[in-house]
This record gives sequence, structure tokens and C-alpha cells, in this order.
Amino acid sequence: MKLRLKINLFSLVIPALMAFIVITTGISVMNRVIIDLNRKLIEKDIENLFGLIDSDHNVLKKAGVDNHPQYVSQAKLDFLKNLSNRDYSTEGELIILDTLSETQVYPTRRSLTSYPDMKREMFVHISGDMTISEGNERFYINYIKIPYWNWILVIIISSKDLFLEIQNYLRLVIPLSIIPVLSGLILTYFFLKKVISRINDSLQCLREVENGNLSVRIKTEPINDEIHEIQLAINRMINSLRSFYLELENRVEQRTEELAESNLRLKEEINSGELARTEISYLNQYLKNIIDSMPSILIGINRDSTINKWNPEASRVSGFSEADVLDRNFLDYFNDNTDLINKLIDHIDSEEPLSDLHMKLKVGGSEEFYGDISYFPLREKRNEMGILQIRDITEKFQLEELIKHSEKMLSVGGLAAGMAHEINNPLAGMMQSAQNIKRRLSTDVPVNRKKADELGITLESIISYSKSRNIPDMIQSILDSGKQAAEIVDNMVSFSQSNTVSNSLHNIDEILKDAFESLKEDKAFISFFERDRLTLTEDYAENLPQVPCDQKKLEQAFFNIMRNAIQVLSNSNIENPSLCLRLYARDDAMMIEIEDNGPGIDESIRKRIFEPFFSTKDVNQGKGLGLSISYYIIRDHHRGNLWLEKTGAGGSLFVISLPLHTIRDKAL
Amino acid sequence: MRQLLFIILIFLNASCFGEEVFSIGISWLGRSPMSEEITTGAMETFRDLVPDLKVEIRGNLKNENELRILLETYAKTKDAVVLLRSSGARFLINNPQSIPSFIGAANDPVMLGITTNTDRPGGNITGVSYQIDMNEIIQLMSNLLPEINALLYLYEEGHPGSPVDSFHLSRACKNASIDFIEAGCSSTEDVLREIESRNDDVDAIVLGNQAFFHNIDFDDMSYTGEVPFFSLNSLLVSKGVLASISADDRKLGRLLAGSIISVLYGNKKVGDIPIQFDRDPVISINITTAEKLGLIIPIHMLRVAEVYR
Repeated sequence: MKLRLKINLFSLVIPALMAFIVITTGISVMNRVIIDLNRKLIEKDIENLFGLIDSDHNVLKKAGVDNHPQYVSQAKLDFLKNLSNRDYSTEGELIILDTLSETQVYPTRRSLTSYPDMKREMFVHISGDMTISEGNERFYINYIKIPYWNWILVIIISSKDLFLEIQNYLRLVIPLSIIPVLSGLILTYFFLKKVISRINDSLQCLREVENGNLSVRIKTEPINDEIHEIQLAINRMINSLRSFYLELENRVEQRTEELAESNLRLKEEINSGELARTEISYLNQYLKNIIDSMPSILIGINRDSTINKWNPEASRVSGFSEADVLDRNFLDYFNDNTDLINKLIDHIDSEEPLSDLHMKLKVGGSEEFYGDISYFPLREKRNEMGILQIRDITEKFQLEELIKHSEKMLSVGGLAAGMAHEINNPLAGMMQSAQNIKRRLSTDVPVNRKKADELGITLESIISYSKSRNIPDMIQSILDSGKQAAEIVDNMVSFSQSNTVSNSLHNIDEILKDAFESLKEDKAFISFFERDRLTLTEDYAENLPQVPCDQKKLEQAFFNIMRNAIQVLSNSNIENPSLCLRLYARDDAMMIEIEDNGPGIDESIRKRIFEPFFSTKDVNQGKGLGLSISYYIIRDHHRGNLWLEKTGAGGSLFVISLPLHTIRDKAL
Repeated sequence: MRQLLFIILIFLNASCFGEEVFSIGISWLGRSPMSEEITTGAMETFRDLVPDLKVEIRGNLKNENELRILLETYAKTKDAVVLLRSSGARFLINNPQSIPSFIGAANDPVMLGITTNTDRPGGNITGVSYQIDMNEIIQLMSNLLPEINALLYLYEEGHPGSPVDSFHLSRACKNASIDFIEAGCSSTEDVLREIESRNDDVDAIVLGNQAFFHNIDFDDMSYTGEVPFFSLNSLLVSKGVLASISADDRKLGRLLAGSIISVLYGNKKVGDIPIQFDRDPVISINITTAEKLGLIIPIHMLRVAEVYR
């Protein structure tokens, strides 16, 4: 709605309607109020008049002259005389009727002939009020009887008189109120019209300015009011805008020139910057590729020990993705290794690098492995504090251990072979001599009898003497011990026969079965096999290839390993002893696993079990050569490998790998 | 309202100093119904406001010697003394007392020589006076009688208040153009003789405000004339006098009590307390006498007057 319409509505129409409503409602209410008020006032007036008469009557009564006609007449006259000086509250007319003379005592002449005639019979009660109609006019009457004066006081008022008051009021008030209201409305209308016109001028000017015309101005009028102030302010604002605009144009021109130069410089900078960003991006990507392709675990650590980098190798090993571990404490993933955590914390706190720390560890959910742990603090003092690198060196470690072991075994084997060679000659002499003694005491050899005859003694006496001194047993003991020593020496010599490579093909499962059958026939374990029900599990893969090997030596090797297992099971009183044999091919090797459920091998002696003459058994039960012979058979005779895969409370697992092709095959 | 406030203040003061007990003596010479009425009004006020005040009343004293002896006793034993009647006032003028002294039932204190300024009398005497404006009795007579051309004023011979009343009434008559005739009397016979001798010359007779006239029984008097009597004492209206205008004696007693309490309990100086008058005197009319005289009392007079039959 336009402002003009709003102003006209709110300043003219609504006030006029409200004034009309107020006046009409006011007249109606006023009419009712006047009627009620007049009725009450008339009642009050008549009570006052009665009070005056009654007071005088009491005065006369007190003086004892209330029945004295002269005093009563005097009092009546005094009352009537004072009536002319009395003011009444209403427009009502007082009428006093004398009931004895049936005359109207007051007023003596009727001032308003329009009143109805008053008869004594009309007034039934001692006092009261009534309404009577005559023609179109209604009259309200209030009366009271004065019995001791034989008067009836009546006050009558006509509706015309009542409305006369309202009419008088309206005649006075309406012109007095309507004229100024109308004048005010008209003046307001023209004033507001002028105001709106000036506002519209201002608005038109502002629209011109909005369209960019800064030369336009509001034509002000010499009226000192708020609109005039606003118009002046708008004109000043336009002047300021124009000044700013001109100044801005100058600045824009200058800036445009500067901007053109800047653009040129910027383009050059952008070009160089683009190259730099490309290079940085390339380097970032290159660095990321390096980190991601690193075969070792790389973990970036913030100063608050949270992780900022977790390369794919770390994810692969730990089982946690980079998204899983970012912003988490890196120590959470090394909880199982207190030594490692303490060392890392020491180096992180001191900001010193850590390198060549080799130890077993787990990262997140990984299996335990040997790691080469390094920590590199970053020089830049930012949130990123350092890089933790962990290389899995399990295989390398095992290889080194194996090499060390092999070298040790080779040196031990060489030593044993050398010793055997040196022992063999005197042993052979000893054995030869003992055999000769035994043979020269035999009666079956004619030369022995001949020599005895030459000496004058009999061979039988010599034999008797030697028997009486247990010499034959001693000689047999020398021969038995020598034979035993010869076997040991023979075994020791086998350590030095590593270059012998057998080339005949055999089924390994059959060799394993033969070895187990030989074991069962070993008199040392007959009682074990009879007493305990050993559970033998043979888990052989199908279609296994034949392996080039020395069947007897390999059977010996398997026999030694299984014998150790059976010895352990028989000594440890396991309730359900079991032995598991597995066979399967992998790559170019045949894998043989021999596993028992015995008490396992102590970790402290694990490294020495393949050494010759190393045994934890009683002296009578072994010489400590079984596993070392098996080792040399596998390693030196067959270019295979033998290691203890696991041991502990669940038993021991020995793994043997045998190459499916000999070196010579490969050479061919 | 001022009087009421004053009495309340006095009452508060009396409450504050309630521990002190005062004693006063009231006395007057000869028999005086007015003195008795004033004393009654004062005692009513004492009972209401200062019930602990000890009041000794010795009225109807035979002579001044007896009064003198009494006042010597009062000077030693009382805190204040009240002497009623004009004779008492005059005695105080001649015999100043050391204790606060009050007058009552006395005529114009200025003419009696008590003070020259009734609003601030100074000295050691204050009190109340029954003096009224004599123009009001002229006005009363004019309302009741159709015409008054001459007036006879009778007074007690030798009474100290008589010349005072005579002076004021003569001036009022002069203002109203009424002939003023006065005569002193010492007995009922003197009164009757004066009335009969002046019966044809005057339209009204005014009796003075002296106790002397209280002893006259107007009904028994052999006077048969129709000249109406007026008085300055309402007590005479009940004895047959047509009308009177006089101070209200009880009211004067209450005003007197207020002045005494102000001095004793309010620590006011006697000389600072004005001598008080009844500014709204009482009109009394005997309607029987009016009927005998054939007069109709105007209704507006009946409205304001004490009417007797």
C-alpha cells in the first residue's frame, strides 16, 4: 500500500470513523446515564425537600406548636418562600399539592403547560415514583406525602427535558468538536500531502542517484523541519558521493595502470609459481611413492606422539590402515614391547637418532618378527617430530644365524673328522693287537701250540692261567670298546664326507616309513611302543615327486630325529603321546615336518642342539651325535636344510627341506 | 478544631508528666447558679483529661474576709486558684495571688480592670468571661417583637457586673435607635415598681445577668402588663422570661478547664493564655410566654433556640 493511502487511511478515515463511533456511542450512553442520574437526583431532591419540611415540623413539635395553625402556616410560608431561592439538581419541576383544598400550592401558576394534571388519587403510597405518558411524551414522577401539612411534594421531569439537556449538549459540543476535528483533518490532509510530495521528491532524487546520476539534487523548500533536514542531508550525501566517485575514478585509472603492470608481473610470477608448484607436486608425489614403495615400515610421529604417516608396508604388516591410525598415539601399536617403547621414548625426548636396534617385536596385529629399528628426528621444529623406520630382518637374521650355525657346524665337523682320522690309526693298532692276543691264545692256531712247546709250557696251562685271571674277558672288553670307538670315529668321519651327492631318486614317504619301522624295532623303545599307544599321524600330500637322495643316509637322518622325539615322549610321561609326519612340496623343495607333543626344547639350548656331542640325556641314552649327524646328512650330503621351527609347551617341530633337483641337475 | 487540637496536646502533655499531681481550688462569693454550671463544665473536662487533678470547690462564701482566709491557705497548698463571678475577679485584682489565678463567670475583663488585652492578658490572671455582644440581644428582640422603640434595662444595684452590661447595652440600643432606660433594683418590689412605672413607655424589658434576678418568680409577680421580658441569663427563661441570649455556662467551664490544664500540665505562662468568650451564645425562648403575649415566634428562631414551655 502506498504511503499516501496509508496516511490518508490512518490520519483521515479511521479517526473520522472512530469519532463517529465515539460520538454516537457516547450520546447513547450519555442518554442512559442522564436518565438514571436524573432519576436519582430527583429522588435526592425530594428527599432533601422532605428533610427541610420534617426538620421544621420537628422544631414546631419540640416547641409544642406543631398543631398550631399559625405556626404551621408560618412554616409552610417560610418553606414556599425559600423555594424560589433553592437550586435543584435537575431540570425537574416541583409541584406541591394541598390535599385538603385539592389545589396546587406550588407553583401557583404553571410554568410549563405541557405537564399532565396532578390528582391526589394518582399518589397511592406515602412516597414513590412512576412514569406516565401523555401523547408522545413520557414523564418521570417522584413524590412524597407530607401528612402533617397535608401536602404532596411532586417532582416531575419530561423526557423532552432530559433530551433537551442532551440536545443542548450536542448543539454545543458537536459544532465545537466537529469543526476543529474537520479543520484538523483537512489541515492534516494537506499537510501530509505536502509531506508526501516532499518525500516523493526525495525518493525521485534517490532513484536518479541509484541509476548513476550524481548531478541531480533535491529542490528544498524554506521549511525548517525534519524533512528539510533529511533533504539537505541527502543533497550533502550526493555531493559527497560525487566527490568520492570522481576521486574513485581517478584512483581507478591509476590503479588500472598499476594493475596492468602488476598483471604482467603476476603472470610471470604465476608462470614461475606454476612451475614451482608442479615441481613441488612432483616431488611430493615422488616422496610419497618412495615412502609407499619402501619395503620397511615408516611411521611419521608428531610432537604429541600421534601418528601423521603410516606407509603401506606398515598397513600390510600391522593390519591397520593409515586412516585407522592417524592422530592416534604410535605407542599404542607397540604395547607388547616395553624395552622398545622405553628406548624410543628416550630417543624421541632427546631428539637423537636411533639406528641398528635389532629386536623381536610386533606392530599392531602383526606376528612377531625381527626388526631393524631406526628413529630419525626431523630438524625442522614443526609439529612433525620424527620418522620411525622398522625393517623386517627376520629372514636375514635367520640366515645369519644359519650361516653362523653352519660355519660352527662345519668347523666342529671338520674338527671331529680330523680327530677321527688321527684316532683311527692308534685305535686300529689297539684293535689289531687285541685281536692278535685273542688269536694267539687260541688252541686252534697250530703255531700257538708250537711256540708253547718250545717254551716248555702247555698252551692249555696258559689258557687256564688267563682264564683264572679273566684275561680273555679283558681282551674281549678291549675289542668291544674298540669296536664302539671305531663306530664313533666312523660316524665322525662321515662329517667330512659332505661333497658326496647322491643322484638316485627315491620316495621320501617310503624312507620315512622305513625309518619309523626301524625305530619300532629298536630294543630301547620296544617297551614304549608296547606300553603307550603312540598316535602316529601321517599327513602326506598326494602326487609328491621323488627326491634325489641317499636313501640309507636319509633314513638315518629321519631315524635320529624321530628317535629323539620318541625318547622325549617316553621320558616325559605324556598322556597321549603323538608324532606327526607331514610331507608336501613347495617351490623346488620337498618339505618334511616331524612334530611331537612333548615338553619341547628349552630356548637356552636351542642354538646348540645340532652340535656334535651336545646332549641333555643321560650318558647311557646318547652321545649327542644323532641330531648333528642328521644335520650333516641333510645339509652336506643333500644340500638341504634342517631347522627347529618351533618348540615349547606344545612340543617340537623339526622341518627338513630337500631340493628336488641337485646342483648337477641345475648345471645340466 | 483548634480547641480540640489544643486539648489533645494538653492530654499528651498530661500523659507525659502524669506522675506530677496538681491541686487547685475553686471558689466564689455568694450563691451563683452560673458559677455552679461553670464548675460542672470544668469538672467534666478534668475528669476526662486529668483525672488525677485534685480540685477543692468552696462556693457560696459569705464575704471577702472568708475568701481571703481561704486564698491564704490555697497559696500554700494549691498549684492554682479559680475565683468565679465578677466579684471574685475584682477581688483578685485587689489581692494578687502568688499562684496562677483564673477567673470565671465574670463580666467584661477589660472593664473590670483585669487586663487591657484579652488575647494576651499578661500578669498572673486569665480565665473565661460570660460577656456577649449586646447587639445580638437587640437582634433577638427585633426578631420576636413587631416593633421596639424603647427598652428598659433592670440591674442589681451594687453588682460589679451591672455597670458593664449597662454600658454595652446602651451602646447597642443607640446603634439600633432604641431609647435606653436603666434602673437599679435591690428587691422584687423594686423590680415590680420599676416595671409598672415604665410599662407604657417601653416595648421590652431586659433583666441583667445577676444572681439577684434568679430569686424572682415572674409567675407569682403581680405584674399584669404585656411588655415582654428579656434576659442575659437563660435560667430566667424557664421562669417566664420570653427570651434570653447568654453564654453557655458549661462551655465556659470547659474552656476554663483547658486554660488551667495548659498552665499546670502544659507549662504555659498564665499571662500568655487569652481570656476566652463564648462566641456562639445560646438563645432561649419560652413559647408559653409567647402564647400569653400573643406572639408568633418565627420559625427560623425556633430552629436555633432552646425552647421552653
